[in-house]
Amino acid sequence: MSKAFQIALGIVTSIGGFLEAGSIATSAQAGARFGFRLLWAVALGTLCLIFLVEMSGRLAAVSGHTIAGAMRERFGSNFFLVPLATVALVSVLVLGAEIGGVCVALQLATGVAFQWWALPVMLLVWALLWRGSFGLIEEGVSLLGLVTVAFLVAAIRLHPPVAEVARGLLPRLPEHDGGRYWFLAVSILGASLTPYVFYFYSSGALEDEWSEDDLGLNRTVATLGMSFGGVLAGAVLVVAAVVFLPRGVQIESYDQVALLLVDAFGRAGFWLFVAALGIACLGAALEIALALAYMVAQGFGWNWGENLKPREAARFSTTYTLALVLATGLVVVGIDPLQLTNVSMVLSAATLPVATVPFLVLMNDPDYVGTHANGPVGNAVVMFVVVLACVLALVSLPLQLAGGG
Amino acid sequence: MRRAGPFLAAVFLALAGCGGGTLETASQTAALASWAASADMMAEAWLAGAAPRAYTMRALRGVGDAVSARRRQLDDRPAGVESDIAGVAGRLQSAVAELREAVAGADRGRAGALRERVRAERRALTAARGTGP
Repeated sequence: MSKAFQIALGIVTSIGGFLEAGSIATSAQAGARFGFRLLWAVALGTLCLIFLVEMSGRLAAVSGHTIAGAMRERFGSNFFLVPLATVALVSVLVLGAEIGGVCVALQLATGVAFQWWALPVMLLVWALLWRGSFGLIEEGVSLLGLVTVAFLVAAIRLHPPVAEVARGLLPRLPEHDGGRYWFLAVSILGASLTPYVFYFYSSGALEDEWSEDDLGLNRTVATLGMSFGGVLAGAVLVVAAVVFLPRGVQIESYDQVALLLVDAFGRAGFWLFVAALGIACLGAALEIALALAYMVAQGFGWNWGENLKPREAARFSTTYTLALVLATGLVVVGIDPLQLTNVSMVLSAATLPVATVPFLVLMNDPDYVGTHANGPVGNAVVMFVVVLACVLALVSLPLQLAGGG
Repeated sequence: MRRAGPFLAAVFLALAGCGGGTLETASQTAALASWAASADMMAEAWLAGAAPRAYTMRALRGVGDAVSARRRQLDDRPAGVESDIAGVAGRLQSAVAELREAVAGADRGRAGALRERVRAERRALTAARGTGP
């Protein structure tokens, strides 16, 4: 495979795999309630994600370790249990939100309640993981995910006021509903920075057998792929601001979000949204289940790999199976998928330091990254955003729970 | 000062309670106006052929349930502005339920008329937000 093709494929899969239930729901809620004012949160989250993804690819390419494997080796098994338990808990919740997203898409398409779809969707995800290869998951589903480019096309077709959109990139204090504003800001950050993304990326780099020769590819894919992905999340916010805000619709359910693309595409808009939500959430569910199994298997030193037959990595396969069962249980009992998404995104933000600080230590350790250690800018940006997201989550979650709104 | 402490605390709590109630009513009114706008948008999409009937019926039932929940919360509050808003919420709930029936029967003419009723209740709620508590 030529380098140029590899880069193009990497960027395309990053774009196709960027949007998921969290980024669609939080961006739509933010746009409907506060117009373009929370675009800065999308931009900040994307910037931080570019750094984190690039770092995780660099760690894998240089050291031959995944984040989880290196963390366990560097800090010991007992310490590793803390990030493992934290990331696993958040990942199961996010996995529940993604499975819920696929079920909601099917509910929108058929009118049959989302709970009824939980089991078939779980079986579909499980079968794809059980029978599929890493290439199928990484490229196949992400390529289908390019349908999410519809949000960008919609944003262009709706002609939003460019100056106002640009002003949204600058953080400003809210004029009303402060509690809700910060809750949505931290939800957006949590959606952008869910740890499974960079944990998955480092495992993927090893599945693809990256070496130091691939550092350029890694940097290009991380920067361009994540940037374009961030543009898509921003487009969801912009479309929601143009479509919902003037009508006074505040998003409290996926049934409302379903009409997001109707103004831009007419009859096709509803079905484009259904396809985008379903495919994006299906891709994310596959990646999260895999990321969780990678982390557990690497942490305990088990055989792992999506390219291995399930019997060759039995505990790895059992882990994603159990994760799917647990996450599906959240949907079956009828927890509202949008609320599950919001809570899991804020928890993701609140626990970011646990998942990222040990990773940053690794990225500054010459034993792992040799001469490719982090520069001061990368360290500073990631620390700033991670601490900001955590503090905002710890402050806004109780306020939101107390105030409802 | 020691005697005044509990009294001041009670006054503070009472004021906070009143303020909380006012804010709560404003928040309920805003949420009801948002649900009315949602029902309007759903009906508009169905009438334009941009949303399937199964979705529209289910979504309108969701709107009806949400309006009903907000209305119950308003009914639990003492009479006053809240009862006026609860009245609007009751009319909105009934209009949404009838709109859902019209969609179920694919009766576009009736659905169009009921959409106008939903819009009228939405205007009433928006006005209540502007002049209300």
